[in-house]
Amino acid sequence: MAEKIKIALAGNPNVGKSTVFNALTGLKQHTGNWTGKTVGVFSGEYKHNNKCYEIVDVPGTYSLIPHSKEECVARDFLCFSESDKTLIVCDATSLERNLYFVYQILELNKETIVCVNLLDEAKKKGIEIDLQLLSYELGVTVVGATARENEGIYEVKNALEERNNKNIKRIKYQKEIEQSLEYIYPVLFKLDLKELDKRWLSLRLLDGDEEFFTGLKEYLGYDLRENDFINNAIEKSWKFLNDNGIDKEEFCELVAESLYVEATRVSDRVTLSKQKTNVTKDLKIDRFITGKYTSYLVLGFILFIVFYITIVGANIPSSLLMDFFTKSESALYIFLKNIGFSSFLNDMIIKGGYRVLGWVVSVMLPPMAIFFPLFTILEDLGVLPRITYVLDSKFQKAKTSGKQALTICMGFGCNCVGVTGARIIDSKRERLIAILTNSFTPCNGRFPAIIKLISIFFISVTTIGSEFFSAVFLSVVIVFSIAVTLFISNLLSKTILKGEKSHYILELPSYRKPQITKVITRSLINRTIFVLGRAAVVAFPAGIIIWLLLNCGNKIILESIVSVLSPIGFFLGLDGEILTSFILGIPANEIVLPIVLMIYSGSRELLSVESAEIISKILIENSWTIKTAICFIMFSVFHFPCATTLITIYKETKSIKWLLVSFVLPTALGVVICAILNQFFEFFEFVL
Amino acid sequence: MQMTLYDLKIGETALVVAINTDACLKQRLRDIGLIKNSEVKVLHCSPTGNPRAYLIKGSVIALRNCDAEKIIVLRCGDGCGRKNKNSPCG
Repeated sequence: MAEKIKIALAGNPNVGKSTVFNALTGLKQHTGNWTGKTVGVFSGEYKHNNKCYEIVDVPGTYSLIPHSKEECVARDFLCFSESDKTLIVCDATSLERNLYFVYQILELNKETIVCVNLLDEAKKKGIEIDLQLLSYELGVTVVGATARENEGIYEVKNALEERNNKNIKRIKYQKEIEQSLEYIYPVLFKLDLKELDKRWLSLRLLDGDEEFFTGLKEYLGYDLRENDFINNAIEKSWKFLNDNGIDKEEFCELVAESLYVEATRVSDRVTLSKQKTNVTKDLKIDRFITGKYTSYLVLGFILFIVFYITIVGANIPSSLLMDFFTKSESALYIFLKNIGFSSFLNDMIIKGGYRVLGWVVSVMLPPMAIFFPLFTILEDLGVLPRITYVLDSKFQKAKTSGKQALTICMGFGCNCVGVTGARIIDSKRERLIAILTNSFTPCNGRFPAIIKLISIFFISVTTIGSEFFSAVFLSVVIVFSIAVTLFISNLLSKTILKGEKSHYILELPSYRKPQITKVITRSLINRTIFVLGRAAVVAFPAGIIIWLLLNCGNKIILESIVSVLSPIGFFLGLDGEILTSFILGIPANEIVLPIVLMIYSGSRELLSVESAEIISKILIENSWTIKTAICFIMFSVFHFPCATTLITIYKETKSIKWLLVSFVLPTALGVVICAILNQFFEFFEFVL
Repeated sequence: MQMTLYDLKIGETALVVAINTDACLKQRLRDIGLIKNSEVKVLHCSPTGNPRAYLIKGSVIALRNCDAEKIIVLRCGDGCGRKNKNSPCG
């Protein structure tokens, strides 16, 4: 078996990079970690002319100077990975800006292929590009493509197969900068720099930030700045630059300017534009979607539709899955018995672990398998950035980034995805706020219980269009959760995470038709399976623990926990059983309501309850009222995040302190809200 | 009198004269194509009027007004466009 050829796929955001990725790899994709990093990058494989290629989808970025964590991942991968070739995807409709990034990559002096994508959109806008001339100007292979129609993909594969002779045109900087490099360049020859280009490294040694040097140290295996010769050279170089009136800021600016001058010159030369850039069609849609009066309506409508489809669509597959798990349970039980498992062990595994696992999967998978593709469709359409654009002023008041709106949206699917998604936020402070407040967003794991309670206590199940009203009620809960998120974000900005709002720069990409089939495969692989896998890993052991609590020593442990928590529970308008269930439900939020039912009914195993009537009967027998239901819903929205989210928060922040805050903050908030609600209801009942 | 990007009305086009922001934002703006001498058009604004969307090098970019205030521009007459991009206009 021949060795795999590793290709890094880079490009600006919104240039159809993932479309190219999908077209190249088809279904052979997986999220993988690359050497020594915990950050997941998407990679896929394909075969072409009997050679195997591994292609890594690097996060989209505008430059190699990172501002957010995600861009940092991109920079590290493009500069310091052992990829054999780099494929850059460009947007034909804004070539100039794309070329600026291309030139930054070309400076790395690696084997590079440029793919000019979106040729169809460019054609519509009256833009034509002379690809041959562009190839001549850049000194690398250039391929044109319309990836969504699969045009040019074969040519890209061919180009990747060829040995692209390194003929890269290098940018010349102004005299002072070129001279300053002379101090460093020769020193580098004495060192082992692996594949790094010396000219590029000389430049970066002058303008690199702390994170750059960290990445460099990791790549080389030693710290370049501990070398006296290097330090000496850098010092001399800066002295020379300073003598010529160039400081670090000026240096960065001059370097960028030179790149832009080239980018502008080349793009002007190769672009044949018949008319002025045409954005009128987008502009009309924008006026509607982001208009003064229409925008909130549109936003509410989108939110409503997404939840409605998710709720209605998830019902049938959910019950089918539940059926499957119930039926397979007895078969599995007999199987394990036959191979010699003791009945205790067998009960523990099947009625504990397997049953909870089955519950989590059947409750969680269908809504997620619907929600995430819908989310990806909105992303593809170009609607998501507009949502942050419309809502940004609200976040400005909370001194955070409008991009937090996106992490909230992702949080609806799963809080872990929301927490990881906060990487798109540039400022560290604002990113932390987005992470800490993400669990206020009720996720798919919490929806089923909330919806069940809504349909039991607020609308009669027999009403026509009960799903419609559930969605309305759910929307009210959601709007409230967003309002609280904004309020707490503001509070954090004024207290423990003090600071001013940072900048908000966001591209509003052209509206594009989403590619439904590709959307589904990608979001299924990328988000759903990923999240589900992690949830399943915690659900199984959690099931065993719960089963042990219910079956060992006459439930003494369980009952003592319940009795200890009872007074707190009553104070919050809940009871001891409910609080115990929330604690036992830490592994996954979807098992909270089942545990409640189980403790109430005194059963020794998790009940698989489907019908609202049975649930309603059990709950009302245990003196649930509308007050209990409202407090339960509120506590469900505002309590400690689930185990998976907590682990993710730790991974993202690398700090025990923030992990604790993320645990305590929502819990405290839930306690306050529930206590107030309880007092309010008691007063109300008293008056009546 | 100096005019900033924020002072432009919707539909107006201008040429960037200077960017008086901190280094970080400057870098960011540079990455998305907003540099000295580049052309900017105000496209539309969000419901509250902040942020607004601008056409920069063929892409639509949203900027907050507090950031747009730090970008000094020269408003172009109707004749200013791609045809005479080398000559300063106003």
